[in-house]
Amino acid sequence: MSTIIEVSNLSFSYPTEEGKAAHRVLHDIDLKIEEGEFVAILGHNGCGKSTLAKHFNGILKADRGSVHVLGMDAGDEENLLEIRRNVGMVFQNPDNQIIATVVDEDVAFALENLGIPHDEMARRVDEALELVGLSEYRQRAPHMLSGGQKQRVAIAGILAMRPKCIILDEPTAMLDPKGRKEVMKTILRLNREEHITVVLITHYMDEAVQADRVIVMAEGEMILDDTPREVFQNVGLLHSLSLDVPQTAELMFALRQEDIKVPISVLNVDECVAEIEKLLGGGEND
Amino acid sequence: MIKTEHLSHFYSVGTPFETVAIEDINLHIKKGEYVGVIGHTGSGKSTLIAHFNAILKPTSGKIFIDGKDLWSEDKKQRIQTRFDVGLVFQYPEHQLFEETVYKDIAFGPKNMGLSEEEIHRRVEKAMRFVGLSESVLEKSPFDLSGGQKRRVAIAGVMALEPKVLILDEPAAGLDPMGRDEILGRIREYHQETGSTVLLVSHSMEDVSKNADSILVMNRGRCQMHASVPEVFERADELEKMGLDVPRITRVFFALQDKGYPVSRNVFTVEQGKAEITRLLKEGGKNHA
Ligand SMILES: Nc1ncnc2c1ncn2[C@@H]1O[C@H](COP(=O)(O)OP(=O)(O)OP(=O)(O)O)[C@@H](O)[C@H]1O
Ligand SMILES: Nc1ncnc2c1ncn2[C@@H]1O[C@H](COP(=O)(O)OP(=O)(O)OP(=O)(O)O)[C@@H](O)[C@H]1O
Ligand SMILES: [Mg+2]
Ligand SMILES: [Mg+2]
Repeated sequence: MSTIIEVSNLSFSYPTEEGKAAHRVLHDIDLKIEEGEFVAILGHNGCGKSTLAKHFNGILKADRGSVHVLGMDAGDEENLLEIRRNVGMVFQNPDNQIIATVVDEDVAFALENLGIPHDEMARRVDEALELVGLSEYRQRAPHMLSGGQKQRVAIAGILAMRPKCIILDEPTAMLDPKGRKEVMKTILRLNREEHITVVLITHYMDEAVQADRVIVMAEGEMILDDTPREVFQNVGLLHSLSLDVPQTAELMFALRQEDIKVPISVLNVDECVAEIEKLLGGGEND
Repeated sequence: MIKTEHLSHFYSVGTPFETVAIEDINLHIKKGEYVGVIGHTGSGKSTLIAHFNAILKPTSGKIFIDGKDLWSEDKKQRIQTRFDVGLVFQYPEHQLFEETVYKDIAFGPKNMGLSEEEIHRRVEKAMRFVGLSESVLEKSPFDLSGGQKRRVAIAGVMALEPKVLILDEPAAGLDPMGRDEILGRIREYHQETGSTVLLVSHSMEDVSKNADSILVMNRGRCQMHASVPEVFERADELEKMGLDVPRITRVFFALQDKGYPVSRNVFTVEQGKAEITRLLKEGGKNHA
């Protein structure tokens, strides 16, 4: 397995107007993401998730420390084209991402820049639009779409690129439950079957549960870095960091406060049903 | 409070892309009602609510706010509506435009012609409401994180102290605690002021925790408008429309399918806990 993103001792502040003290946003971050991993990043508003992610494809440059992508220094302009060919990013607000005036041109935009042959490009655009369920909207103007439809356009653009690593900054924030499930299914498939590395920034604990690894940030620092099951044991700590646990774990937590003996890390509906069955004396010996 | 008659809106009329965004909506939202609005992507939610403070004009049909026809000859009604009906946009970027966070939140109250003092009081109150710290007041709203922008946008509307509060996906981008706190304060505001609230959301959990009734949009039509239990009882239909029921409700549906005598009306963690403790007391084992 090779390392796809390596962050060492990274610190960052946004430039400020003269005379004002710079406020440091990221503090001494050390992080290694291996090829094929599915990593979720959680953390309170303003803790630095998007800022960190923008270092992964060279949109922002480290003040101190370094970021390497596939061994290339992301602080070096010369590497940016190659890095962006390999690391695709879906931004938090699709408006910042959508460039073209027609949906399918927008999805093709990055491919054109990468010099993909025309036939191949057309095929990938079709496939990506199909995947996000927007085929019938391909000739529309992106600004004439609903909020969730715009978000799907942005996701399609990255899917069509087929990068080695996909970074998604709250990609499902505006999607309906079915759309959210479909995007998660697509992410999982790309990761499991095509070994694409996935970094998912999210405020939905139910999505983080599906990752292999969960990183919790607070105030520009990394606080936890473990499997979902381990991370979601820390109900008290997560609450104190403005975070949450999946609703099923929340129920277990509430029952434990009543002295009912159940495990906490119950991450989905099936596990939750099984635990309650045990409690009620059915289930296991059914 | 809000009534519509045969309300329809078409976009791009007369072009090949003419879209029927909403069609023949007949609604009656009572004064002081808290309505959750759900519906698949593109179902017409944002289009519908943009009519309630006169941002969009109906292609056909009528809207009555507090009994008055919004698009009658009398223009004053529409101007008053912009102050009475506060709308938080789906994307905060579509709402923020001033140089500083302070000015952005003060914009509405200023337009209402309030005194400097009153404006200041409202800005401070709104900041506390959304949990923003003083340190961001002089920043440009564009130099904030996604969730911080969202908070500024909500604060700007709360500063109007509107009689009708309409929020289009206000929790998208908020961290879990911010979401619970802000939705909690909106509920308090609703209870204290008797204001009417419309919460557009893709989170079935947030809707069930906060709303009294649910309005379901589907392909531009209003498919249901009923109490929370009545709507979630129709889980299969919701699923066909790209929607769902809260996760916790799924747990209890599954338990019932396995023969346990549990209620199907469990929509929050609190209700789930109560239901399980009840079962344990009753001995649980009486299932087939
Ligand atoms: N362009 C900018 N200029 C100055 N400060 C910024 C800028 N963008 C973000 N910040 C600040 O940097 C900090 C980290 O922001 P960032 O966007 O990385 O947070 P985040 O973890 O992604 O939050 P959210 O969950 O709200 O999206 C915040 O305090 C924010 O106000
Ligand atoms: N400005 C516009 N011009 C043309 N068509 C539009 C425009 N805005 C929305 N539409 C179309 O109208 C329909 C309803 O859109 P609307 O934004 O009301 O949906 P929504 O329920 O809010 O969706 P979402 O959950 O994705 O925000 C969609 O098919 C959309 O493509
Ligand atoms: Mg962010
Ligand atoms: Mg919308």
